Amino acid sequence: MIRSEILREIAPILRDQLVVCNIGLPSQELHMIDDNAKNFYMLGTMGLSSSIGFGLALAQDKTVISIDGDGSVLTNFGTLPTIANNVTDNYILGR
Amino acid sequence: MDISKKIVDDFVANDVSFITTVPCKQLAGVIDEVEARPEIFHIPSNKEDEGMGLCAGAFMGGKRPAIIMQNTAIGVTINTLATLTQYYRMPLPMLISYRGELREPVACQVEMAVHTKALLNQLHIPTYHFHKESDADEFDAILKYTFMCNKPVAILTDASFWGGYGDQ
Repeated sequence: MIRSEILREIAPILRDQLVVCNIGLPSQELHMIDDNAKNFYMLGTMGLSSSIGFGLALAQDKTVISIDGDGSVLTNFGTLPTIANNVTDNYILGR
Repeated sequence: MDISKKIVDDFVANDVSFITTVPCKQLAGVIDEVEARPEIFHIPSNKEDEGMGLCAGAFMGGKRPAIIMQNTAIGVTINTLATLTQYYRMPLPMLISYRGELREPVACQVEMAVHTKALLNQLHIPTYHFHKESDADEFDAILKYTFMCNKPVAILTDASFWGGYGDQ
């Protein structure tokens, strides 16, 4: 299954959540599949989708889903221990 | 009055409740004070751009954020400042230790100090330089200004402001 198919598959689940989406094609595809006001399209800071979504989850109670990329996460690996050290149950990180 | 306490009092008075920090010897006192306040959620970052990402999310979640870091980080956060904080019109007070200024014992720090204000200027980031303790009297107004205009704002705090490095 390719990424755009996965996004199409999970779009009904994403719709009711706050979503922080990764730079480039994932944001373009999510916009095309199901653009809505709960989506944040991160357009310029490769690797920070995980961090932005985590900050959003810490600041309020609604569930936040960050969509990141495998290569993107490699550019900001240090955020994974930050997330692990400040566990909050309303945060889901998908890659 | 203890200067670290005054600075954190101003953060609290301006409803700044989410602060991320990257360690610096000069900032140790203010970071301890941030950690001690129940009004502030303190989350240490591994890198400053990560911290700016956390702050962006916190702002979207309704909190007023701030970052505490060294001036050397300006070199590695330019893209984040331009394409995240500035592009999405987010306020971000940046309390920065201005390493490489007078009384600096580490020569390498000077190499970044000489570029710090030029880079901030090039980025059109409002910049304030605290050299004497009384300069911090403006901190409250700087925070109000930051959240009024929704921009990143730099507060450079040099070694003279902090009273040297404790070994001079």
